[in-house]
Amino acid sequence: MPSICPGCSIGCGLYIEEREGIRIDYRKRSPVNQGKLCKFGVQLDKYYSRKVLKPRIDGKEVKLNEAISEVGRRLKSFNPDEIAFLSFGDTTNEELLAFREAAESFGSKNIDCGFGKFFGKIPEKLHPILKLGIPFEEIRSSKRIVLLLMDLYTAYPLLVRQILLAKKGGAEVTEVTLARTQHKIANEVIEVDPSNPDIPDFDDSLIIADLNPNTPLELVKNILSMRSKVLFMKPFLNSTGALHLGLVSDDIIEGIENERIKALYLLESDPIWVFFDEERIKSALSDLDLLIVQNSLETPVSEIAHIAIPGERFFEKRGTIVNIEGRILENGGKSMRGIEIIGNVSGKDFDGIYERVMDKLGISAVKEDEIPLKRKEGEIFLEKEKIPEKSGDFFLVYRTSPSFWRNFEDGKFIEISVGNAQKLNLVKGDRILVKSDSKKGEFAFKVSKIPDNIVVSGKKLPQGKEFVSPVKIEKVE
Amino acid sequence: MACYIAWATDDEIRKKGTSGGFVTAALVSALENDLIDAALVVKRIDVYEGIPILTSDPEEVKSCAGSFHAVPVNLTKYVDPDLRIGMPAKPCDARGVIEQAKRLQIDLDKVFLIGLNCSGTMLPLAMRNMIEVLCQLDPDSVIKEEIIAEKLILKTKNGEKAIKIDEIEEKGYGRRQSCRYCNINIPFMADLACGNWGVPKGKKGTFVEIFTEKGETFFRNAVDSGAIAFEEAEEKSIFTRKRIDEAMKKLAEENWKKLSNSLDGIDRLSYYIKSFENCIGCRSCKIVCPVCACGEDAKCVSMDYETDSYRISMFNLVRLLHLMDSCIGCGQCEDVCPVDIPLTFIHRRFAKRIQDILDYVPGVNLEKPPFYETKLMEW
Repeated sequence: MPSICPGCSIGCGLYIEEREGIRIDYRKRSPVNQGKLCKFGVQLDKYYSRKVLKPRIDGKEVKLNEAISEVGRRLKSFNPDEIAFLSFGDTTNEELLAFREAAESFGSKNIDCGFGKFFGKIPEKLHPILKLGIPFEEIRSSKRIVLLLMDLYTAYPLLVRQILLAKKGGAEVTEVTLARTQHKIANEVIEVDPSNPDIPDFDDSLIIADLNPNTPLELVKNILSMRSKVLFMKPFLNSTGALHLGLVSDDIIEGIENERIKALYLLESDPIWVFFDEERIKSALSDLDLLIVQNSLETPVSEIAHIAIPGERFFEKRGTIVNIEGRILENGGKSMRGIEIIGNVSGKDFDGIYERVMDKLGISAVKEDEIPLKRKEGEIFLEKEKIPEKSGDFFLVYRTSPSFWRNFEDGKFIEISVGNAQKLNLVKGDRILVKSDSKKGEFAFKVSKIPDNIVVSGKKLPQGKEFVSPVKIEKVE
Repeated sequence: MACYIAWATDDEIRKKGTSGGFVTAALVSALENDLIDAALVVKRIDVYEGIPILTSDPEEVKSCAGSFHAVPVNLTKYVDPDLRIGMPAKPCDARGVIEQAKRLQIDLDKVFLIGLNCSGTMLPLAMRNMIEVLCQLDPDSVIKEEIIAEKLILKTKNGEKAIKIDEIEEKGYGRRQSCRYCNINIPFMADLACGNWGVPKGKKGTFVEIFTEKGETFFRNAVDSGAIAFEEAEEKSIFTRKRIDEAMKKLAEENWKKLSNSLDGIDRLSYYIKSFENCIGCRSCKIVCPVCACGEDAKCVSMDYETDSYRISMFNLVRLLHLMDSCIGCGQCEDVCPVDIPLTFIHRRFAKRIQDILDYVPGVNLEKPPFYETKLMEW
């Protein structure tokens, strides 16, 4: 059955079959990826084979319909302003629109996909750039590309090919990075000091950067100050669909922390996975009066949920998504259980939801070879804003958004400079200890050509609560 | 070897089949007479998309009739070793199955390899693009495609358009690169080989050559059940087929020479390092390889560490060595490589030299790969 990889906003096509286990196959007909997959896509069988969520109320296993009735009953005891709905977009347009309509039926305006916090702080004329990417054809025909603080080999590996094709066509590629990789995709590498990140300006270029709920607003503004075209990649499959269907409101996590929001309904989303500072997020979510999780699989947040409701896995869902290019793609599943659950919770009937999605997206039929959503460029440029300095003299930095792929990939290691490896007298097989103020952990290491004042991780670590975090390292004796 | 012109007696199957419907009719007959448990066929979604399925339903087999030049799938890894299977097999499918049999993953006695002559396949999006740009047709308007007499025939509701394969390739479109230098067009390693080369003009039939007893059993079953009719192939047909095969082989060898010579005079080590430098480590090349049978404990995987910084990863180095005596050049690795590493070309360049030295062609019989039994010092 044709399906879409849920790994990121590219939305690669593939086949998936469940019969004595899950089998992934390559869909060469897909106009998005022509059958090519990254490490995550190839291992989707393992991703989907994780523990399935069981219906629970206050930690006790119950029947699904009991959990659903309890959600409706408990939500009604809150003022509409106290209830929030959050989905990062790892589901279909149809489920997201149903979620939005359910929120409206409870009178809540707090419905977000994690990106709303940028919209209130950036002029409306620039919103199209936050909402939508560009067709990959535009990457391939670019003459100057800047990869800004993102390692495409770690995140969005399918974009590497687009950049290589652009280079074949004569494009010059500049990489702005905290830590260079051994890959040589860039013609020029500019290393930025993590304690005082001064991002150079680029005009007449295509700037590719990652936008996720952890991205500092100053960095977003910095990028939007440049006289260049910008492609913000997003780590969730259908953020583009969510943004086009109106899942945009004030920062929900902030609302929870300042106690404006007391009840939260999460759809196919886990903020503990997504945000850098897991402890802070977990503590905020634990303080809620009501936490509802509708998810297909067990994730860290389901452990602290008051009510857990199992939806179906993404590949089983019937519906569409919008990829970062603005392409509307059909997922091959048949199930509508997720939508039915939202319907039962809110007492709404979602008949005609497919037609309403098409209407909102302005299309009459789903055609994967076409890109119906096109963005209008920003017309204005922001004033450059300084990125705050970091105190400290040695840092753990992330290669790219470490919440990418929901921390699914196996194996964690730290990259260390040649100088530090020599100083610590490291030999193959040794381990290094990375310590922050409150956390420490031992890791395997890889020696890389990076500056001596950093170690680098591609995955989220408790020691790294921000993109750049002060740490200390020593050899494990 | 026995050569026939055969065709389905069922008019509908004959009409739907590419060349007389022999393969479909014989598969259906094999299922109905319990010669096989299932047929491994490609289920058609449209001209550009098909999915391999194992089916015991004769109607489903009938619905899969027709050619799929834009579905470049290798069927080897879809074989269920527990079932008796009949499968239409391009030369690279048949060779993959034979290599898996050597590695004890498939019992050849349980598989009828119904070979299909093959002059190459195209990537679906490249085919769509070619149809749009070169033929100025809406790709979605094409309802059927066939290759007849070195021409690609595109059928639409309003008629048909033919374009010479040579012309397509001159203009930068056409077959996958691995198909352009593949010099095995008639699957002589299969139980029987079927195709339209040598079929007299105006006759809707399949040229069938039988190579093995199993092939004979498969053919006889279809004849005895009345599913097919046949006549002996005339000398002229046999000659025509041979001439086409030789011309295709010659072209493939020229293409290989041209491509392979492109590395002459350059620092090849630098070329290989450069080619592999963008590898993202997805390991798809191993997953799709019809020859690889090592599973997750493979040396290429277990010797490869994320913390290594080699300029060519151990994964790629071990695979280069491992495939030297076994690569059949099917092109699957290159198709799925997310960063377009010319994997098949690189593997074939290594493999061709070694296979020539060892006088060994993988996938054509059950002779074991030389590295199974030959110590490196011996040659």
